[in-house]
Amino acid sequence: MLKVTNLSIHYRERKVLDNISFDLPARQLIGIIGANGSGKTTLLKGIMGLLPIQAGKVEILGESWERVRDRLAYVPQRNAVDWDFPASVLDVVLMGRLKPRTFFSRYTAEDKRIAQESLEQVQIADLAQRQISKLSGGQQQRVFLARALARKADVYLLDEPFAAVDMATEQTIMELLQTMREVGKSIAVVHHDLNTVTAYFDYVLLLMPDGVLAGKTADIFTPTNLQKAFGGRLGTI
Amino acid sequence: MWLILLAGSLVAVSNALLGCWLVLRKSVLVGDAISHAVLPGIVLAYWITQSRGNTYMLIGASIVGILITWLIELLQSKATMQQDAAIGLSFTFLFALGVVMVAWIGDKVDLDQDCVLYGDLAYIPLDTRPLWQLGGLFVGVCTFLYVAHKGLWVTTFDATYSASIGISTAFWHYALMGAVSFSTVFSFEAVGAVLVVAFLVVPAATAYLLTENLRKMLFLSVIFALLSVFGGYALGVWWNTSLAGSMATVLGVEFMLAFGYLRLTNGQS
Repeated sequence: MLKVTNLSIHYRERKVLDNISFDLPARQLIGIIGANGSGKTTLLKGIMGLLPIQAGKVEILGESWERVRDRLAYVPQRNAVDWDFPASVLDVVLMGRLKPRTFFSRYTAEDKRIAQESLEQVQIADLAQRQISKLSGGQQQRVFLARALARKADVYLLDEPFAAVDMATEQTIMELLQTMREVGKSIAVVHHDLNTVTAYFDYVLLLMPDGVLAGKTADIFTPTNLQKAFGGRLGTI
Repeated sequence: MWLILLAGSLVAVSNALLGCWLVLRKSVLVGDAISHAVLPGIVLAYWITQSRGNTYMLIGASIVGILITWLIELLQSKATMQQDAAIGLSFTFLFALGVVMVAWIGDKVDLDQDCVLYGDLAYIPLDTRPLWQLGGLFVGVCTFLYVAHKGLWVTTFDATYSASIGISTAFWHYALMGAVSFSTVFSFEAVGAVLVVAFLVVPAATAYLLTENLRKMLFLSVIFALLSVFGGYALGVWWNTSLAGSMATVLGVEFMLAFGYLRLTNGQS
């Protein structure tokens, strides 16, 4: 589904990602795990073509990202935007229906129906008209996920969807992601809570100081590998 | 009198509407920078064409406006300067250059420093040509904002996401800054290079205090802009002082009243 070959992304002098390669399978729930600063967000942005890459190749569904852009849905970190922006929940979810080709046309009835449906899937259909500045952290995350769902994509890339959200939201989102996998979607999630990795993900991409490891959770998510990936910063699990 | 009020309203509303987007993008200072930086462009155009209010002057100054937007971006990305430092460096340099140029060639053309800094609405009835310009500006700004509404809103709210679905954030950034350049240059003759900033910032900032709805914010900013034009005109005539200056003063008072109102009502609830 997602094949990365010899990818290097540098930020000024720093080699955030240096010559990494991996191949992730389709129709799986994949956890992207790594220490702070190991380049998880950078990797997602690189895959989505949001950062210049110094070397390497990214193939999604066998194509370059430009050609499959309408089949991808990216969920940025919740705190990447200003939630005081004057907009309603529905405004944000409708963004999910935007495509460059039809950008200047009005939203169709179909777009609005899909947006409402997406809000129902994340169980906040009643908040459609609410201003986004009035939302809790968990509700904000649900709105972001609803926007991605509204794209009706095949591949979903989520950046820390469980960061600082309530338990109910985490459960709702997780159940939804599992349902999506059952209907054939491919989902990669940047995740920081090591306690839930085994329960949540079929497959793990572990970012290490000297490269990456990818494989079934049981094979990759081992104390030895984690010690290497997190060094002294690893607590007890 | 009505011509002055009409000219003032056209300037105020055009800039207030654009200002809403600058406030939302947290780029108000870029608008400030543009309004100052166009000065050398304007002076140069005066000098070359020996006349005011012609199309070449407007185009030339607008180009300088877009140039400084680009310069600010460049300083940020290539010289790794912070945005505020990049803005401060670019616009003070260009504005100073403009001031020096006015002093240097000021006696050769009809252009004095007071006029550049404060503009003069009071001359409008004697020469109505600027009125057509301002009318054109108003229609242009409204058309631009109507067409660009979606592009500005998605790239302002979530630039990363917009880029991920293939919408150019740079395009909309430069489109807005280009519009601000045009608006600043068109307004310059009426209200001057400094006070135009008040119209860009204050109505939008006041409206932003009072509402969480984008359409209401745009609407309120227009109301505040119009109030300041009419109130400022009355004040200016009464005190026999600069009209643009008293309009900007009324804007400041409006903001303080809105802020006070907000504090009072919040205190009650």
